[in-house]
Amino acid sequence: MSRVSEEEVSRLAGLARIELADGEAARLAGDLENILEHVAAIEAASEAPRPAVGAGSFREDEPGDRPGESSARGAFPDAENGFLKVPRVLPSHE
Amino acid sequence: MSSEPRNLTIAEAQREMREGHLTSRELVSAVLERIASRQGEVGAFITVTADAALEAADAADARRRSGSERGPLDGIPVAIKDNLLVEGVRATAASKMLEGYVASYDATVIGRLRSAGAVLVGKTNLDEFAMGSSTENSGLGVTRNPHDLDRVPGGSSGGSAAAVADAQALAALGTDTGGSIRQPAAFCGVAGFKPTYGAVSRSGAIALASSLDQIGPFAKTARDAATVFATIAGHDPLDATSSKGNVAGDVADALARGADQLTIGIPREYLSGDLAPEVAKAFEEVRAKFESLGHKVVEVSLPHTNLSLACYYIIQPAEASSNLARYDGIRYAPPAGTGGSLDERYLHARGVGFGAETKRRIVLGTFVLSSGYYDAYYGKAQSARTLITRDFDEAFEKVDALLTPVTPTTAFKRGEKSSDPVAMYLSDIFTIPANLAGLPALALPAAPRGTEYAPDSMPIGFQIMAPKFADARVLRLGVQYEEA
Repeated sequence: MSRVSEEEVSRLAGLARIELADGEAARLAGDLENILEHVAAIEAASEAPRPAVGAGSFREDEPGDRPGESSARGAFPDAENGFLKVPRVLPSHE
Repeated sequence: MSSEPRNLTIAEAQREMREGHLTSRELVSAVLERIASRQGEVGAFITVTADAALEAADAADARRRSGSERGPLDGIPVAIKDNLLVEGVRATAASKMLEGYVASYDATVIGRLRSAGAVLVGKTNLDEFAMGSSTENSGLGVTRNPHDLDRVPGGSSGGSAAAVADAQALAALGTDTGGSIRQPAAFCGVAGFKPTYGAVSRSGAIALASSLDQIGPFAKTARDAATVFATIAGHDPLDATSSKGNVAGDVADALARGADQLTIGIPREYLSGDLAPEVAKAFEEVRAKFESLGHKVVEVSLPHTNLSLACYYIIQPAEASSNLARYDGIRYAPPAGTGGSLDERYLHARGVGFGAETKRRIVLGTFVLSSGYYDAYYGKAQSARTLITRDFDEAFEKVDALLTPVTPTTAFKRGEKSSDPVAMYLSDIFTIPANLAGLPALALPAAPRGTEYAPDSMPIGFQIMAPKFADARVLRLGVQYEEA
């Protein structure tokens, strides 16, 4: 099927929000090349309906208590006034 | 007592405790001593919870003294793969990304083990986020095969398999996405069971590939594995894929009833190719033993088997790339950030937090899902999954169960395949189809319990598969084999 260039790997890593170290894109491109060569066997598959997954046992969407909320908050690095805090997303115009 | 407490099966330990020859504290202490003396060499554990385990053992002993014991797992030491959440204990998935994360609730399976009185002794090593076949991809330590420290224990649940094989727990939980319970069970010479997809709740398991993941037990025998499975199985409203059927009850009935004479199929596609001579020989002996037990053994064909590996290594990375998007460097007590913008923090945390194989699969998954390649890879893989599932459906019209090898070879040397991803992936070739089709599958040692393994005579496993929700049939056949 297709060949994967180092530039393509860098673009995919960017989409997946992974910073690559020096030389990592080249190594990954080589690995992907080998893996894709192997999975090219999938071309032989004839068309078939896509499988349904799981038993699909849905429950009512009702509010309820889930334990551990405070410890989940505790695993978050920063908080202020009861809100979880992350770096600024939009630029400041002040 | 005929045997060291740590070498007992669950069934034997219960008998000793019932007859007053053994307490849970003695049993758990023996296991903790074994862990302490072997951790440096085998490295099965990431976290050991000794104090909590002894406290739970004392509680089990108190229940027994007051006549209120809780059943076959009460007071039994069990190890847990470190991608399952245990409240108040680190849950790392063997990733630097989660090195400091402490679980805020119990996985459903953990709650069920606790209710049954099981004693949790610690969290076991794995390939990072359960991606791998040797436990060499762990970001937090090395696990070695207890029968030959130069060899891998298999993976991804290598720590759980090594712990049970080395008497560091009487049973363990693992997860199996493409063989991650059965392959290490075969490499370490213990029983490992992947239940039907939907038989066991996955709530509180760190998700890898959600259409394939399933939690299951390791134990010294199929009978013990059945006991653990019957405890953790059953519907859970917190997992929408969990079945409402009574699989656990079926297991208890089947084991009590004993064996029927069945028709067992051997798929010819599994015996061609690169099967090591010693594996082929052991498998032939397994087949003969099932025939001698009165079963009819016939050849069947699963013609799309050759698509399985390609299908799996498209679908699994695709789902993994999506599931692992949640590790954003903000939640789950991430590795220290460098400041900067939110986007820079994501990029940095995921760049340093994920290991090489995890990055490889996320990038591969992103590729097969990306515009222009989606139909050629992911779409085709979904079709192949249907074809593979239909093969099984057709085979199960003729036979009650299938018998195959678990792995093409015995445990390989450490470092032998770690630089060649495709060679590593090929070690899952016989285990992947059961995940793609959602079937129950048991790996069991071909040799009897008590066999001494050595570097030149490593364990060899075989696999039993059956239709979805025929978990009881699979386990019953395993019990019949090992007890004959």
